[in-house]
Amino acid sequence: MLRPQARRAIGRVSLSRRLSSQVPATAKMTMFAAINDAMRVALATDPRAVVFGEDVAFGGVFRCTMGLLEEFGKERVLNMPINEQGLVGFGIGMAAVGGTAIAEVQFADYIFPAMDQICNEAAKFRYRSGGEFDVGGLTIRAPANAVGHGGHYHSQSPEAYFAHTPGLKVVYPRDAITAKGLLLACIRDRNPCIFFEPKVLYRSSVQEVPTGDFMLPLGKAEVLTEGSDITLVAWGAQVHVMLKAAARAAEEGISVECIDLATILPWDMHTIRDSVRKTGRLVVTHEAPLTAGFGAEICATIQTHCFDSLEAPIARVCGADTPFPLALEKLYLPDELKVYDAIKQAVSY
Amino acid sequence: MERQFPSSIGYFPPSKGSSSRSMRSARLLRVARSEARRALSSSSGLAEENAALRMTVAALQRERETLLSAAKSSGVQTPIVSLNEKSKFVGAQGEFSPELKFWYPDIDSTPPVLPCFRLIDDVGLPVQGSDAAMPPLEQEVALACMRTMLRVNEFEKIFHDAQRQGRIPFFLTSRGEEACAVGSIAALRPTDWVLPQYREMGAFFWRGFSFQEVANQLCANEKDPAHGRQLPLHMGSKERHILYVKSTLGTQCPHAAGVAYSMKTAGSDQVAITYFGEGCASEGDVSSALNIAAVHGCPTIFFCRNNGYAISTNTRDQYVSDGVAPRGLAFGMPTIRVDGNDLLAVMAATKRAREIATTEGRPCLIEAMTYRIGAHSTSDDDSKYRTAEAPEAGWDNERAYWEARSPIIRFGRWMQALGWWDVAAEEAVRKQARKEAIASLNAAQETARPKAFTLFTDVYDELPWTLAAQHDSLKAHLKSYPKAYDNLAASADL
Repeated sequence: MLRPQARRAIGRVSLSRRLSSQVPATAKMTMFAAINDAMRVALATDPRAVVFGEDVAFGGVFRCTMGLLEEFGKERVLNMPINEQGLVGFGIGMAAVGGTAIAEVQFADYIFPAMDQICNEAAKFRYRSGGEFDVGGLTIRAPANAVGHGGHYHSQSPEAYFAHTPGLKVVYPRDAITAKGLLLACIRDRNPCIFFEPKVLYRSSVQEVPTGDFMLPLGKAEVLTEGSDITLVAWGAQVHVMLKAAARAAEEGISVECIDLATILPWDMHTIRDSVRKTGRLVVTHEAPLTAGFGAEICATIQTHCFDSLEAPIARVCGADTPFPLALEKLYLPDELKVYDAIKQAVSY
Repeated sequence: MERQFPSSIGYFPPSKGSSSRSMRSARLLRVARSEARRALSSSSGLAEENAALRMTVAALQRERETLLSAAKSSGVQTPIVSLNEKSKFVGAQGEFSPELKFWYPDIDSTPPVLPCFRLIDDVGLPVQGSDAAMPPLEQEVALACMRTMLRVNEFEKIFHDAQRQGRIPFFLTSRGEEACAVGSIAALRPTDWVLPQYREMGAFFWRGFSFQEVANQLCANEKDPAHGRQLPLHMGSKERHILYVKSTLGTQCPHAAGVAYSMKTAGSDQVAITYFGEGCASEGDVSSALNIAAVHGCPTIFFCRNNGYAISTNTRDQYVSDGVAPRGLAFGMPTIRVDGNDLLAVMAATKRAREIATTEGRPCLIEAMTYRIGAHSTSDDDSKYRTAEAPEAGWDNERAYWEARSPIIRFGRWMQALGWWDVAAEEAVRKQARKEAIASLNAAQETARPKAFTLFTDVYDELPWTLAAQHDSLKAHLKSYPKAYDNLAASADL
């Protein structure tokens, strides 16, 4: 059961959605169906778009590529050998000569073999050629975040590694609507994008999603709930934890401004800065380990820009600096209560 | 007998022909070899020495023709050839073969050691049985190949020395391997995509790079289209269909699969060729690329330059397999091993590979056996690790043995026998190239450094706020400390 404040928040989401997207029609979709729909639009509108990855031909282990093979043929929907560096490299080659490469890495935890291809190749392609070549047509989708029973290798949130690599865009949707809009924007963006999909939301996020061609802007954070006492920032699945914690705090009369960062790189500092100048307090929360997580970047930058406005130390509520655990996942995660507690401490500082 | 009659005169029946004639051939060859050795001792007179060597060999060729016609008229079966001659490349040893045969893993039962395809031998004579596979090479194209190899050679000498003088930070040469790049690129169409490693200068010159363009890149000046961002030799050109060189090893191989796949699905008949070394082939990306390209029928030509050394590492520390070629077979693609110092064989193999790629819709692997005459780069001393012993008696060392078999010498002899080439022509090309190279170096060094703002451009298609802020911050810093960075930039440049 969502608390009233959270319900209001969701009301605002759909309002802002209506304002930002002039969309004629919607259909009820899960997040995986919305992602599927985004790829369908990409394939239908761009004859040089190709979807590929491990197990994508039969629909993908999370069902995101269902029906695409049947609709677009085996030349454009390709199974890949189990080889992340190879499949990402293959996509870089396609994109380098004007193709649109939509790659799926089956889990974000398995993106590391492709680290070299992503960080040394894709990210530097434009710079090292003086802009003669680029791989803007490359998008890498990868399911990320905790799922309740994933253990070390089906739970990680590796955005900070990629946020440290100039040339990439790193994007996190929070639900079905943003998944469709941001994914299509990534596919068409002229820079290589990594699109982390919160796997726990594939089926649980069900919304009225705009049908047809629908994009949301990259590099823009979204204020989900307006507030005056404290600013909260999260992305991906953690957005929902943040909203619940904010709702709990609201019951005690704390007015919380919740922001979904949405794009990790290049991140929207200005929206957060403006919010913190107003509220004077900031809590950043993410699932990834605390140390050198992307929250650190936000805190460092915001204290520079908002030093005179701050009423309390900026706090981070993050995963522990441990490998992602299995049995003790609940203890590891920055859950609603931990975020709520951080809000309380900040406002009573 | 074997020692006295080395490989290159194995064309002649040792006993059935005239023994005095065979002995004469042997004598000529010995002269040729001593000439070659002498040539190595003095690099300044290399062109002249090479030419002398070629003339000696031309005499040998005439001798051979006389023998053949005499044998023909006397009804003797001719010629009896020693096809059992073994190659002595560092990276793999096996028999030579004049048969242009790509081994198909799905059809052929492959031998434990793949043969090495060659059309001309160590002294530049066409090997017996080579007629069938000899590429139909017009004189003009042959001359262009020769000129390109010589221009690579001379350009690299000048810029190697420039690095030694501290004028550029880094350099490496393709000395001894010129035929790999030139022979293969000449076999392709100008719109076929090239994904180089970094030792393929010949491909750049063949596709129309001027000395000045390369010099600008090497000197990292403002005329370098990549704004001096990368180390020397890291070039590329969209117009010439060459992707940029980078220092990472083998990462271009999966790209080559993707490029070729994209061409194929776009309905183009362009292929992609990617170059890599035998050391680089140990990188996972190369295996990944071979597999993906094979699985998805990418028209990609994987061209492995097996030059015996990866910086200091001899191939015996790189693999215990029969070179790199078996990996092509293992991943299911037509594969050939070719004598990489034989430009004609490289060209013929690449032409066939292109045919296979486009008509059969599958990738190919060419393993070109060669020898890296120079150090890996200007950052290592090859005397510390290079094998001293020559693979055959009669040579001062391994390097000397291979330098005498360099593709320029061998192809030059072949052209000379056709009356297409002579010492004067070679010297003229070399002199002109040297002059141009020096001029390009001087001009490149006089050209200004890249503009300071190019530090921040091309990271993204548009400048994000982070970079705009860093740009402004640097500008302010330069203003505060106007003298500190004078040699690089002033705030006005930003």
